[in-house]
Amino acid sequence: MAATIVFPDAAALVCDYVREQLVARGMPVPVGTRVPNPRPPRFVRVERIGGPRLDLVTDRPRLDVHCWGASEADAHDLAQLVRALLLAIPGWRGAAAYAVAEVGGPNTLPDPTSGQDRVALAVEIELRGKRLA
Amino acid sequence: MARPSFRPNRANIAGFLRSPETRALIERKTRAAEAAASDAAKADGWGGQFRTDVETGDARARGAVIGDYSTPYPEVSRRALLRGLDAARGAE
Repeated sequence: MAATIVFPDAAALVCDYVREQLVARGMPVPVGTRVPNPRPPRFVRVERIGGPRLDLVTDRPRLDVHCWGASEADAHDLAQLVRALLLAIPGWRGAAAYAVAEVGGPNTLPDPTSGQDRVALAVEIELRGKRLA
Repeated sequence: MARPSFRPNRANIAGFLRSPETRALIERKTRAAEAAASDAAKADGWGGQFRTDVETGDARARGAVIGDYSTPYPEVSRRALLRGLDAARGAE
């Protein structure tokens, strides 16, 4: 019988990682999987959009990352910082990240609901799962 | 002892990238992505009008999925296309 492998919650893991890295750089920007209400001038939303398992112990979630800013330049700068952090993710709190691939580079995507400036990018991160005891 | 070296045969690689078999594989993957993106958009209440463009150029065969023509919102297209990538990866 094949081993039972469970994978980490990729979106939650990446949110924790990005949030703490931004705080460490003096940017306490809200990072989550939902759009906050009320909307702050800057925030980041991370959402998993598919991404199949790579092999027995490796998940490869595809994460759509949207960065809202107070201006176009602000959204761009936040997205570039988040992008750099994601491409350098070392694994987080016991979850090992093997590799990161950019599947969608930054592109301007103004929020149709609020009109707020936003930049979106997408990555796939290879994350190691754990065997259930 | 001399280390073994790898010398890529660039002419053969270029020929492979333009071969009918490679083009056919790219077309299958592109059409799989289109179908999955269309299904994803329809599941969200949009028309899912995507188009597939496959061509063999000087250097390689390439494929692209374009759309969704049924929505004015790029976010909807982006989301559906990202979902469609799984189908492309699964197509052989």
